[in-house]
Amino acid sequence: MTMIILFSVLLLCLSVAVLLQDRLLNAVILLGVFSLVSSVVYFLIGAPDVAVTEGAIGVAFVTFIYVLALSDQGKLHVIAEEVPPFLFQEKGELQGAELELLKGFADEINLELEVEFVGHRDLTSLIGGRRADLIAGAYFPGFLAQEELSNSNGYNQGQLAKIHRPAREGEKMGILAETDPSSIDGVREEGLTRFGSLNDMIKAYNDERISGFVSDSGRMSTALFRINTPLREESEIDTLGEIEYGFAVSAGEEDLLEELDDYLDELARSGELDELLSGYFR
Amino acid sequence: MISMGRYSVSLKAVYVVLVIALFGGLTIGAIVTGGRAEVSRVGSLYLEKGFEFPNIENAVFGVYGMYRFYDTLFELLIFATAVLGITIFSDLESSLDSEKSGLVESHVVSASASFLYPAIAVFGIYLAFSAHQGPGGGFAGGVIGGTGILLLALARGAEETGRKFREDSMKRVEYLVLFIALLIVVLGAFYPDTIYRNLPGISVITVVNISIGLKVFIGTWAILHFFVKHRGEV
Amino acid sequence: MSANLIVSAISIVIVCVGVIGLILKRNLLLKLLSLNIVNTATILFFVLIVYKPGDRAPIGPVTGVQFADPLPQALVLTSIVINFGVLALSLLFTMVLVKRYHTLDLRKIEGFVKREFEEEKS
Repeated sequence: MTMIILFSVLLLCLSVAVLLQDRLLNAVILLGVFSLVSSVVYFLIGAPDVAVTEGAIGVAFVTFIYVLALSDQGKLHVIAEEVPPFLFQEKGELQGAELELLKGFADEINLELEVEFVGHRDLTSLIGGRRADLIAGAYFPGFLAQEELSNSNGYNQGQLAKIHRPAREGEKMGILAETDPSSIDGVREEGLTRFGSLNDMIKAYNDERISGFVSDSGRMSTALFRINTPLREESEIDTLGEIEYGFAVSAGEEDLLEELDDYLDELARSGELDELLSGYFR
Repeated sequence: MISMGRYSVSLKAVYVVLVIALFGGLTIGAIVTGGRAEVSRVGSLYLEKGFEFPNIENAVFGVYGMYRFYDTLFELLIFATAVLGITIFSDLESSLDSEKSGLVESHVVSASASFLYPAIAVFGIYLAFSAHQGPGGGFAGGVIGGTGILLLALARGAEETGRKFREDSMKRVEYLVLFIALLIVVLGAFYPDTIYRNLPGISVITVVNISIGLKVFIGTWAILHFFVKHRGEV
Repeated sequence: MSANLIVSAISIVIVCVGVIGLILKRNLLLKLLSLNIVNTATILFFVLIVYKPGDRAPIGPVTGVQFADPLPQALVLTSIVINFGVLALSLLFTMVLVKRYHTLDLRKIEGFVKREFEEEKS
């Protein structure tokens, strides 16, 4: 009889220990031990049927189901606009400077990286609806509406640039949708047309529907290849200000943001960041 | 936060204090009034009558397999509903890539699974069939058989094991077994002598054992198959 | 104080610990684990309350021996299996939720669901 009382006290200690664990795996294993000790108690009481059933179900089965539910690595879901050479896809393979950064980060926090290319307009709604974790793709603070986002530290410097040709009467400048124009000098809201994608904006410039557009230096360098040659000769490019390329996460995700900032700081300090960037940006 | 005057306390703390007070009161009340440490009237009745059936030596089996088989029938029904829910989700859920179907890369498991699982399966069948003569019963026997099949699935992949054990027919057998259990209950109410004592060719004990064991085995295999196929991202 | 009262009091305390864990923890999986503890401790209480020292298993038609009570054992057997079936289903729903919202924190999930509901209404 004393054995039964001792085992019950052991059960009590085990149940408190289950709730005090940090890691989920430890808690699940402790629950298996809890079932095992209670099976022993059932046997000592004189209830062998219950002991066998509790042992088969509680120890083997429940632990196994929990471990299976925990076993897969989670995913780090990144949504981005496709901008070479930051993050782009060539022949079905993902490439780019940001890809290496993100891969290292995903390994660091033990998740699997998954990258999805979406249009400019979908970026905010996907983060707000919690379907994605991170925004990438030549992102800089001010690029999107800031209400639901938190910005990380920057990893590279860039400039905001404006390309234009001699303006005719009533023509407007283009800007990518949701970019906040107040951070740019010399541009007013009334003189702007918003475009959903970089390609639309370049096309409008080629078709001479807008007198110019504002974009960051990364996108500008891709855009320059697609502007018709005579137009390119005619245009002027002005630098409007300095920006820092970084990433954005959903507004409530402080833990993820902190880990990302720590990771970027570590890379910058050890010099690996410069090595990585010099491979992609001259 | 609930606040009264100068003090404010979080709602959760109030709940915790209430729970502790409730259970503490229960414990103290149980100790003070004292429970009877004797077999209840109904329990002693089962102890006497349970051994009157021919061949039954386990009084607990007498309770859940004979006298209270109605309870067991409904328990099987609840279990079947839970398994039905999981099976439906298994079809609706977008299945993950098939590269994940092989779980274990360890050679120990795949080498030993082939000769271990017959032993486990036989032990499970033995437990299920000898419910009336010793400890065990269909529940434990079915779960142990399911765990044996799980070992095989870990070594060879869940899809292949499911095909080898003919999963489609198993699902129909599950409902057939439930129907047989229902038959025993209904017919046993109208013709108790025939069913419970003079059933020709087979004893009702065997039918009860088989139905419980098979049902739990198929149910646990269905649950395990779902969890192996759609391993979670938690 | 007879033995069965001490051990059944201990099992009531385990139920209390499980319920407190269910209230205080925010992680979905830890809540499920606490529920599991509550279930196991409750059925432990059922079997322990009729324990008398010197019980034998109720097997074998030997008369004149003190047997354990078979009734709570039989009731508890079905309860174990049903608990495990319900646990499997609730784990299934947890997996679906986590896949959708990428977090295990219950308050965050409630916030997202509430926001989606309000956006749908407007």
